[in-house]
Amino acid sequence: MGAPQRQRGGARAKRPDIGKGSARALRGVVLALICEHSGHGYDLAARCNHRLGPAWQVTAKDMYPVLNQLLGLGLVRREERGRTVVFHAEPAAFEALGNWHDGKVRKEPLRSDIRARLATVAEGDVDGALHMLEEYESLLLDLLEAADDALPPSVATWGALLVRVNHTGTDAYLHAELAWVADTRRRFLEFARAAR
Amino acid sequence: MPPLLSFENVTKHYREPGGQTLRVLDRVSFELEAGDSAGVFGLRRSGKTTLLRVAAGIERADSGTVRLDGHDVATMSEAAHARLLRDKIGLAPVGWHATRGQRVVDFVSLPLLSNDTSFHDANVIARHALERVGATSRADARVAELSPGERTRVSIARALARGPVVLLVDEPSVTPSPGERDEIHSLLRSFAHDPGLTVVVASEDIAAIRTARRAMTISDGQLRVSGQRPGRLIPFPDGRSGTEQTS
Repeated sequence: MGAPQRQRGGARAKRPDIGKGSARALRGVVLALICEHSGHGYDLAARCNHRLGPAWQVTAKDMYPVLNQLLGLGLVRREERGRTVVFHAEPAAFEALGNWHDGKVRKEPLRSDIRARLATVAEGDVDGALHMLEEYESLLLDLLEAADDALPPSVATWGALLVRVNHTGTDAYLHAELAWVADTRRRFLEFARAAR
Repeated sequence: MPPLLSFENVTKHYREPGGQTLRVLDRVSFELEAGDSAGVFGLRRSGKTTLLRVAAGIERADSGTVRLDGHDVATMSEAAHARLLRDKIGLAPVGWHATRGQRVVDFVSLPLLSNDTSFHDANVIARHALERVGATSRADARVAELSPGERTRVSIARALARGPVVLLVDEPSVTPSPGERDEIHSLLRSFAHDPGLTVVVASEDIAAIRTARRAMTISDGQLRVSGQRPGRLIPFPDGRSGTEQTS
């Protein structure tokens, strides 16, 4: 076990926390997986994708900034085993995880590239708008085709249930986006017809 | 080797009560190799059921070419067409009607009886098909006793009974029970991995689409296939979808 993290803010000790910023959710998941059992970067990326679903598209490369942040927060420690680096949970990790779970769910802004582009299409450029939608739909189709063989056939265990509900959440998102694409395309086409 | 099932610029219209024609399939093109599996996502009235019915030969395309196992189905004689469809394609429709008191095994075996199969043999084959979809225990139940998920399984069993090489499944996710839905999706996933079966699943449920290896979407009768990113210029809309006046 590593030395306790030195806390900022004088004598008043800060509660262990998974930190802030855009990678907070991924950091929380990686920490939880390390708390379940230790692992190296590739293994953790694979476990992330299994737990969260293919839409998260986590790679081993994504792991190292996250693991470095967790190291900096004193929540994990590293152990070199030959050519592999294995990450273990520090005692503070469990408390930080509990604090994250007990805290308020954060409202994240619904920002997306496609929405921003469609909000700024030149007046009357229906062709351009339809093209953007086609491109976006292609990306959604790629996500739909992402391998989902890890999905457990039943939810008889807690782990399988967690995997299932996350995959279902991704599916609901894809459904909503594909429905939105179809509706938006129709709106542009109707607009173009009315304008002729 | 030619694709097992292919559509080339297939268009299909329906006449609506108001005198308008609705273009339900609009220049639909795709190819499926033997053993392939595709999920077609579409909302209600997007054209997915018609796509399956045209693929199954229940409806003919107004224009374009549908090829099954290398044969252009439009140029075949009625008898050859019927034989090809009977032997090669199984359609599990979203809604089907049976006498409420009819036994499940009798409902599944019925299409076999029209195929000069003896009652005994049809019964054995139907039970095997029910076993394949995990519905053995419901073989002697009455159709009216089935849950929505069991109805889907039975519908698939009936489609499989004649040993088709193409299985078309229309909206398999009708059951409100998540557990039952998961089981049906697992079943579809196992079919998608069966090299002897080419599967098309049409659904509004993303999880059902995910059971297939390839994904497509259909909206306003237009099918989009993954990996076909459009160029900058796409044809400007000139009434290519939706309703049109027929005058």
